[in-house]
Amino acid sequence: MFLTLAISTAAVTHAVTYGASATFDPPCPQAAEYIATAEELRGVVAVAAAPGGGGFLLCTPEAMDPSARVVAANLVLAAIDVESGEDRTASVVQRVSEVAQRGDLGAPCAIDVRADGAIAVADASGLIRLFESAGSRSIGEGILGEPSGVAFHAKGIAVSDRRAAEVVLLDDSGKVVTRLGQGQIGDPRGVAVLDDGSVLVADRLRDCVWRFAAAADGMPSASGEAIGEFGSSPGQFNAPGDVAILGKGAECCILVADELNHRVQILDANGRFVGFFGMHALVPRMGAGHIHYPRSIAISSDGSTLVVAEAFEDRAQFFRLTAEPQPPGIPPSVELISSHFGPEIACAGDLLAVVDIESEAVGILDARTTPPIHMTLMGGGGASPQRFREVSALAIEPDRRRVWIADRGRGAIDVYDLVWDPTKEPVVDLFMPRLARSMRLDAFAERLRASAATKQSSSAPLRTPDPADIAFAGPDSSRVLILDRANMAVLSTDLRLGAGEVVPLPKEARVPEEFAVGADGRWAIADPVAQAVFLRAADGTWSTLRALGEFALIRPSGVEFLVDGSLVVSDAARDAVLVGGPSGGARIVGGKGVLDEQFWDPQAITPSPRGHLVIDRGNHRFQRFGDGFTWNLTGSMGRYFDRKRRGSPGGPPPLAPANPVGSSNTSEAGRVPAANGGAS
Amino acid sequence: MKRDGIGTARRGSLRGTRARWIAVLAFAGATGLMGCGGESPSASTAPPSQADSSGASTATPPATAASATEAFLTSGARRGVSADGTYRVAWEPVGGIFSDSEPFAIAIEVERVDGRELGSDLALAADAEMPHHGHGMNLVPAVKPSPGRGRFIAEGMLLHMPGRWIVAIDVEEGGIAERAHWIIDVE
Repeated sequence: MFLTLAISTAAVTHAVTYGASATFDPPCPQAAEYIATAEELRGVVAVAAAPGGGGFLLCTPEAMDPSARVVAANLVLAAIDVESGEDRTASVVQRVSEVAQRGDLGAPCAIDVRADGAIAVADASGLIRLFESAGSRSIGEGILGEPSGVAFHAKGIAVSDRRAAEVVLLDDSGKVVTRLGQGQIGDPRGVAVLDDGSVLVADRLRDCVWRFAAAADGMPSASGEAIGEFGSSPGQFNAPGDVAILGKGAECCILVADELNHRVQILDANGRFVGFFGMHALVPRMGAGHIHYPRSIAISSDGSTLVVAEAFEDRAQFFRLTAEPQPPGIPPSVELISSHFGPEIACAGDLLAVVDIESEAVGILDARTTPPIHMTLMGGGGASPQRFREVSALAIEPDRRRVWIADRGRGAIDVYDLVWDPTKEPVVDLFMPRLARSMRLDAFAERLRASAATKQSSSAPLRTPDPADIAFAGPDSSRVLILDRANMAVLSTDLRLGAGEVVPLPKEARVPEEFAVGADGRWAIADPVAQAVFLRAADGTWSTLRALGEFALIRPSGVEFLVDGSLVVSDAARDAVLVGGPSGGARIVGGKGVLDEQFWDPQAITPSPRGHLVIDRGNHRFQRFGDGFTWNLTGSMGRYFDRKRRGSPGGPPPLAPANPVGSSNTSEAGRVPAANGGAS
Repeated sequence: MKRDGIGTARRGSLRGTRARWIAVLAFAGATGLMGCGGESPSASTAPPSQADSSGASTATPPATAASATEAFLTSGARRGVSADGTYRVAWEPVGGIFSDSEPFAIAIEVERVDGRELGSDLALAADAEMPHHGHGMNLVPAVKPSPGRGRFIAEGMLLHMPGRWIVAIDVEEGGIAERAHWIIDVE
């Protein structure tokens, strides 16, 4: 038995049919049907319905010309034909037409469109860019730290600020109207506004959506109510990154991009689960309805179509919202570590540590061997000292083989002993890691504040540190250097996080991610938003590196020193690694692809006994480069290649028919099944 | 079987994470009854590998781990030093025996190796997990102070299946929790 209901939006009334089992009130779609994919949207971070019902706006961090020089951040219009025929993929008006060269968008990470056509772009470097009929302008400078979501509000503009862990409501001139969720929100991302003025924000760290209910005057409450909790069951979330609203009033529906559950969930206006869609892709590059790390979502103005931006896959998928629930599929499941590498990696001496962002586990490998041998695992999701909620930094004490793990979810750094005899054959030993101590970062901040040695030049109060990376320095590696995103500084302290020194980063720094310390005492910090590597000489002077040799740094995501003191920088936008030379030149290694010596979103770099390891995140693997930074291994957890596969650069030629990936570093890789070693 | 061995302390919980299973002790007043006394701490700053407080067969207390609180614990108590060598920790099941299928309580004693008084913000936590199985206990122990300096009772321990467990006691002061642990084989 079916009954027909109608969802009314501002623009169009769209008829949908609900099954007899749908007893939800108010009516919401229960799932969605795949329509089409727009590919080659490098790092697409944000989507919004275009003004006037004309498709969607999609935002990519940068646009590059054919020679891989960055042109500008990019705003494109996706037009799709939702009237699909028998062959869905063929029925799509696929390609996105570039429309908006609206000037430099900075480092865009979220967009929203107002009814009058005005566009707001959240710039992660610390402001909101507004494009209105009267022209463009910026607001929020000096107020916002790291914007991560934006939505127009009747009182102005609601902006998520990751650094301050709050939502700021700015008026039209950029003045603060109110702040929401202080002390509640962990990592605010996408924002949406209900027609009564209530504000919803996805919290990636707390695994929920916060609702800040509006009073009668439309002003949202400063304190929010959480919808959902961590988990993979219906109504639970794992790192939600965006939220969108379908419909109005008490009968609206809430759609949530549930990133690490690889799905979109649909809730009713009260936050009750209605349905979900987007079966987890089993390997990278799988699409056609299989969602992989959904970053941003938007609903068309007629309420019929939803677009999902998947930065991980450089694509956006389009869906038609439907009444029928999605048939049971493969549920999200994480069993131990499975190569969902996060951006972090660490190696010291003979040990290698990698983090799996989906299971929140850290794997330890013997780095001396080819392939590295997986010996043990620590962590897994949880809240006690031996469990992790979001690993943000990894390091290994060179002398003591202690593993340092920063968990920004718990606000702590855990230090593990490894009970291991390196003279014996490596074996799997789950009793190897023993938690030695767990250090709360808020207590560390108190000690820093009280420290007379604190030399922070800024008058801003010291926040609880948010480690992005950790390194060791000094005699016997007795000093800890913490790259701190919350305070935009490097915290230099002792091994028990006693009082220390706060070394501010250069003012140009925006979102520092990776940290390397050279043998000569130099520091190098990769900042993908600032599009730079910041170098600090041993005497404490800073310099800014915006190119390596002739290659501009577009989205530098990892950095390390080579033995000769040269730098090597991974560039996620180029899908390549830039290798500097002692004479100041540089060469480029890699290019977009899935074979050996090709990358898809390369991240952190670390030296190891047999070469430098680069996290190849989008391919769920790492690659290793030996002397002269020549490739010598591609590996994931349990599958390795130490000879190049056919079609790889410098490898044997592909068998006929030619593998398009091997011959091109840009255009067709997205259509080729993953040839990497790891399952998704 | 819960994958997360600490019961309700699930990832993403919006409640205080450690508050549910840590007893924060207000020592003011109560500690005035107790002196540090006893043996002066020895140089038990064991390196990390030795700070593993026991080993499966370690029931014999280390020579340096004797305590001034023998009356609280028996000579059969498990003793050890926390991983960084800051605390001497001893514990035993109340009543002297484990129950392998029922919740039980353990008595715990803590003192600083350097002889200084324990801080007023001292917090203690007890936990157990089975690394081979990837889980911990099905209960969240409640740690309560017991009369006497550095003495605690952890109720709600449950080693619910046979196999090799790690029992851990975390001693927290100043935002730094240092762990002592013991390997226990449950038959």
